[in-house]
Amino acid sequence: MTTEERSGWHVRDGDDQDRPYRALFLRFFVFSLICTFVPLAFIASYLHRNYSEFSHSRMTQSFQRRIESSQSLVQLFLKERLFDLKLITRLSTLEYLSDASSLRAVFDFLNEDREYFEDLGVIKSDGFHVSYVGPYDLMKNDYSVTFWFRELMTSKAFFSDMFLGYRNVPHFIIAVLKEENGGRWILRATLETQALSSMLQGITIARTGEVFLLNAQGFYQTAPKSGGKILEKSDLPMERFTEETGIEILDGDGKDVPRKIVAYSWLRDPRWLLVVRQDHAEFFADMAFADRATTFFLIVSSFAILAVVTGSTIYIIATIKRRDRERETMNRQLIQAGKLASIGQLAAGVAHEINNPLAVIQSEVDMMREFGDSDSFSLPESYDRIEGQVQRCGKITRDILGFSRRIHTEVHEIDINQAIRESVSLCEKWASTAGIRIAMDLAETLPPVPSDPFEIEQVLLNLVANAVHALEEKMAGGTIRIRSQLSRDGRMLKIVVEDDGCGIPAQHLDKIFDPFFTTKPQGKGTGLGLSISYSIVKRLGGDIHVRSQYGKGSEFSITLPVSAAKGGLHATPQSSPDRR
Amino acid sequence: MPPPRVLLIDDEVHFTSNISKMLTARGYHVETAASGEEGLEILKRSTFDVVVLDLRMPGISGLDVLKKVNKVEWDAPEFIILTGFASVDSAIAGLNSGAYDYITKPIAIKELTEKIAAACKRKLLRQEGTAPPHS
Repeated sequence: MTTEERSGWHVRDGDDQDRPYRALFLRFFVFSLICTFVPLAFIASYLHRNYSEFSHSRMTQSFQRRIESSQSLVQLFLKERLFDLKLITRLSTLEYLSDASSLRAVFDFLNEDREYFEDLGVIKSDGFHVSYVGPYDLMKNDYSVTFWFRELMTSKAFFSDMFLGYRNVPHFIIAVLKEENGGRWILRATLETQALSSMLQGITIARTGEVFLLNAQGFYQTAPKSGGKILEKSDLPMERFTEETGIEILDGDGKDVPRKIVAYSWLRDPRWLLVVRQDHAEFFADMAFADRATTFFLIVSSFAILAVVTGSTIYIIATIKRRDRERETMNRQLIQAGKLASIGQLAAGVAHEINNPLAVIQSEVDMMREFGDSDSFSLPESYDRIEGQVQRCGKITRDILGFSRRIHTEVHEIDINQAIRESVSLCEKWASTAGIRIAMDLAETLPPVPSDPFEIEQVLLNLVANAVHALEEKMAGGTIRIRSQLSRDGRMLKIVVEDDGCGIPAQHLDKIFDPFFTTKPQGKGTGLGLSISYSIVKRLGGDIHVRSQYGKGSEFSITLPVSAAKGGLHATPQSSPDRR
Repeated sequence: MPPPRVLLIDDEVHFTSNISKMLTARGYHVETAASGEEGLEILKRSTFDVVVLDLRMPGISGLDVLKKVNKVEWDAPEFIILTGFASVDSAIAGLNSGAYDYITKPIAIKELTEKIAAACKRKLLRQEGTAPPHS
């Protein structure tokens, strides 16, 4: 492999290693965001809705109170003026008021505090003035033809709308009919036009608020602050104003005419419409400010949450990654320690295996020395025996060489059945000396597994050796069953090592994969075998499980992912379970 | 004086056969057993001065033989452990179980004979009460 290839491989390896962390980061990040944003959004929308409803209700109520108070003011003003005229007709006679000086005295009295009345006249039933005080010459005018005169004959008191009349100036009148000595006469007064306008314009409602009066046809009865003259037609949609006091939102044209809020109430007599009008934006300025403040708060909070969630997620994932790497390093060290321990155990086993044939050879040599010359001793037979023992030693050394070659970790596509057979062959002699049978039931065609052959054999050796130990402890021989099979979806291989040995006490089951946990006597076991097996299987992307019943036996099952480039490896023809 | 009686227990039959012949030539009465079970059977019906016992055998191991055999009797044999392991751990386990001595394989007949002679002498001393009994 060239340097470029090697570095490229490492880059891909780094990407592969980081992928689960990126996925974890994403999951954690999204989950944290959901956990923080959903409650925030819920609370914010709940509070905003409640606040909006509450504010809207309070503001419209206050607007309604404003129209009610304005209505009271206008009606009180008109009633007072009507009362003035009624009082005069009640206390005075036609004769008295027909005298111009008497009428002047009454007129001056009425305008004593404030000049509400512009003129005052007494009109007889024929429609002509008998006396008049005011700036106009109206004595020769016949009022019997006017609309208000006819109206008054039936209603006895009358408020007119604003009209031009004989004087050709906008004004409105109050007239009261008096019946006296079988005859009828009228006291009629013109109200100062500006008095009512000034009173309503004096009601201050923020910058754009205004109060004004319209008649039933929508003509201004008082001039609004925002512009418009008395008797001009307003642009308000009169058809929308019902009999009940109410509030309407009137859309603007989007340019010059802003959106307005209008509160309205009808007066009974005269039938005028009292209107309180304000720019919608100004009216709801507080709410709009609250909306902007809420939005600002939400944006700031969102950024803060985003920053905190991002920071904390990065920190947590980095911590997890660091700890994983530390654990991985420790696992590698454990595996290395396990290899060294295996080498130690191997050396002891090798010594035993070689010393036995050496002992035979030594005894043959001794025999030659002692009986070489005698007839009873057959040298050729002795040579054969020595040769047999030498071949036995040779086989052992070849096995060791094969074993040592696997110490250097290299990932290959391996045939798991072959690995099982090799592992079993290493333990077979030992097992058979303890009267233990190893039965293999291997699936015929299995896809290859990407692994280091030494490592996977180390795992299998550990499991088989543990099974032999478990059966040895029971001292009744027994059987170790090894099965290999492919999962239904064809993505995982399963290897099961089962024994009917001494089993594992329940209290030890959750500890057996812990490093240095052993139940063997001091010096007999390192406590690394299963923890190393666990690390190796996990590193290969697989899993290892144990089921055990104390006194009855154990079952270790390993699942390993098959190679991505799945191609069936043909196991050696052992269609029926391989029994040894 | 009858010849010293030696029992060889080892599954390496060539080894026991050769050793048996050489010890017989040296004046010992030798019997052999190819497994722990066979050795125990022989020990039940015969008495021996020395038992040379291999630790690792199919079936009952040498250590188990040591544990099962009665070593309290007046005429109980001395045991010499025979081990193929290079380490002394297994031999120590044998000594702790009451063996007199241990030998690691391979061994020359001369050395083995010396060990057996020493074991015979020790048994004799034990029977005379001048050597400590089995531990």
